[in-house]
Amino acid sequence: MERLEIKNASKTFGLAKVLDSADLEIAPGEIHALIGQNGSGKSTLIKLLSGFYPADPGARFLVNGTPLGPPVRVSALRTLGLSFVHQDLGLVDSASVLDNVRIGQFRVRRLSRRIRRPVEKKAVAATFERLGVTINPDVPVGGLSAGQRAVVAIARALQTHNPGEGCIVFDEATQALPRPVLHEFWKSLHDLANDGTSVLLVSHRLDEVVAHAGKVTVLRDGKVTGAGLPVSGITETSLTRLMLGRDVSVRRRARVDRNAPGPDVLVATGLGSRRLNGLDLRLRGGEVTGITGPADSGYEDVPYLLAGAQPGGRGVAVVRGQAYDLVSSKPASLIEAGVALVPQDRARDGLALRLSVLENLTIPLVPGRASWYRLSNGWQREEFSRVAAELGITPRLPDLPASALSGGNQQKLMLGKWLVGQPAVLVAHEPTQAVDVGARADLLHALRALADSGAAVLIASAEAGELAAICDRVLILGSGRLRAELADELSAEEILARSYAEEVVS
Amino acid sequence: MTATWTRAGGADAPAIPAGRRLARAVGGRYAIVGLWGLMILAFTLAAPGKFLSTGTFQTIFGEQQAYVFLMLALTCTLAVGEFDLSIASMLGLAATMVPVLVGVHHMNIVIACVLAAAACAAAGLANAILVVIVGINPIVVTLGMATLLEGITLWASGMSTVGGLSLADAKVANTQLLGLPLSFYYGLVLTAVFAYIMSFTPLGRYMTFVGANREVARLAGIRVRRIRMGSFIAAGIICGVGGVIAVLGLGGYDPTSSATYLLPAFASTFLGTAIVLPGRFNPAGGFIAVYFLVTGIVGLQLLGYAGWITDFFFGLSLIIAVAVTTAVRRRQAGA
Repeated sequence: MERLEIKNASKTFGLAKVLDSADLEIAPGEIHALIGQNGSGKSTLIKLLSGFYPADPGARFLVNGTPLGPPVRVSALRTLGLSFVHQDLGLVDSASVLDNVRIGQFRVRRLSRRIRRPVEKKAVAATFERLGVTINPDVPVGGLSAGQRAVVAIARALQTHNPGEGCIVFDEATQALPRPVLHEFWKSLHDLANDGTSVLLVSHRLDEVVAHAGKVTVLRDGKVTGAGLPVSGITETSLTRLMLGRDVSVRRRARVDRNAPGPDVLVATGLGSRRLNGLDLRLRGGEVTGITGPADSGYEDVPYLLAGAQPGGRGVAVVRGQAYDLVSSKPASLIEAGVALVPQDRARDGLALRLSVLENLTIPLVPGRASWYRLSNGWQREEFSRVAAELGITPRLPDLPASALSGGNQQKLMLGKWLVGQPAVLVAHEPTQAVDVGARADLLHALRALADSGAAVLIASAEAGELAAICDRVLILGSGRLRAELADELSAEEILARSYAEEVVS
Repeated sequence: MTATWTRAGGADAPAIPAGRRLARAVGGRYAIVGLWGLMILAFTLAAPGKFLSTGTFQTIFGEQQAYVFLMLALTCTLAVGEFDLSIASMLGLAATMVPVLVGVHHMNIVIACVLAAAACAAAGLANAILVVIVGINPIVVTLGMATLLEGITLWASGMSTVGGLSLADAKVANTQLLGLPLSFYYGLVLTAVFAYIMSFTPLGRYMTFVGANREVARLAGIRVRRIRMGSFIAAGIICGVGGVIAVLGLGGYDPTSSATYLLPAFASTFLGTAIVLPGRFNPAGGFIAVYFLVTGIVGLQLLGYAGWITDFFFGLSLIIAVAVTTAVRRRQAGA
């Protein structure tokens, strides 16, 4: 009998059928990957399974042959052993690690109804031990690193499972994990599967899928284009074709002549933050510079520092000959200098999701293009048509709220909003996070094109393969300092080796 | 979902026939206007000869300007993601200061009016400093400010109705134009100006972004603090002007009545988010909502319901208005 069986799952929003009779079967102890582009319906399928949306009539969900709903109830999910780790992890920052893991599961004293703290601590410690991590259960989650936060969320999903039973759904949850933890994560995932627990892995990272999943189901435009294919003997290229219905390649271009680099557009000295310790940096026109390193090595802060957006930051940036003290400068003055920032956290820093696509796109241009008494509509719509065509934003409806776009299209909108102003310097943090291969190619292409037009581009990212593909040179940080600079013949392996080798040794 | 598609105009926009567009508009963003028409019809049938009269019309549109000014002040702060509970007290302060300064201290009426508005601006500035710079929760700050100003108002007025303004001065507010006093047109003009600012100027766009996502606004180079502070100060000034116009028109003011203005202002502001620009605090929607609610009250009073109906109706309207706002936002987010 299958551990999890989904039959004929469809979902219609208004006129749009986002999921069209999808089927999925997972055997006990199987790691099953679900892949597809943004907007292909994989998130919708997971939301149907978790009961977030009701499915269209006719859908059937079976766990060990027992029907689940409709409607899908949380209590039934728990009884049947189906748990979820969502992309946003679902943590309460102000609550402790223990409370976040145990919420909904608290054991209480019979009469006083007080939470039995010693029992709780033991339960959390046991779960963390299974995962092979040590996190203090009493600290608030808000103070943890991204990697630790993901571990807390995974621990919450794991704890209710008897070894060898149930099914855990990971909805893009590896996104937040730094590499050293990732290795542990995969190990514990395989351990779980070997014991008999099934895993449904929703991912857009094909290398992960090929390396770790047993079978894979592919969605395209709401339809299953590959059902339960065995991963052995499948390549990333053929998966890409199933996902997109076409081949994709990131265009590599001739490297900048090292002997005749473009002019220095931005020269920064003494960049400092909580985790960054006096970094000097030179960004040249026409060049894409990558910056990376282990998690918390400080590379993550560089884009925000250069944009004057990091409270408590230090350093001086000279942009096209004009010096800016990054302690006192505001984002507005650096934007005026030509520095544009594409932040990592789309919902928090990148887009005002309930405002329209058009408003989000043109907001950085408003101070320059509008008079104080009149903000006309014509140029805004022109810019939208241009950017939407250039980046392939769909649907092309400028008045839709930004929240109605899929993740990949939101990411394009966020980049487009800064491209329209033709910045002299573009600094980006994980510009292709959580997007599918098609959107990723479009985004990288746009970044490369911006550099080719003479701008300086800085990309802070943990994606070594991507940096190798697009960058002219890559800076590698360690413990807040520059550890290495790689230029010619970049490869993902070399970037990773330089990022982690010394740490492993020490 | 469907409501947000009606304004679609891009390359892929589905062509919507004009007739359906109108039907959707009536069903969606102008639903309240339709409801208003039904309400008028119902009152006309229920109180024949009484409701549909010039007197009723003048009561509805001629005597409720304070609500319009309060709605605008509240919209000003809510649009940028802030909150102001002291608006009604500021209006009361201005409305009390004018007769006290003129009647007791024999001050020139113009100077008294300017001073009253300035006092409200100062109160708004104090709110702004405490909320934006010191960083205290706006509910606490403005609730405290409301109570403080009410105390000052009661002390200045000796806890009784203040009056004694001359009929000549009342002309500024009461001169009739097309059957309605000038004060109605002041509210109308201010609403139009504010609506223009919100929809068609960079300032309005900045305010919308600060209200929707402060961090995104900051990273886009918008001076977020300046806008938040400005909204509190503007709210103070609008209340001050509203108080001055109200007291000039009435000739006097009952300082204990301020608090009763607060809830209707909230009800109409929130109800306004379901009108004209659904999901957004917008002045035009608020303006329609004010007169929609007032029509309801006046109609019910004509049917013989006593004073309690005002609280009942406004309270119920506020809850329904907020429920509608939430539903509209959710529908937009899930589009």
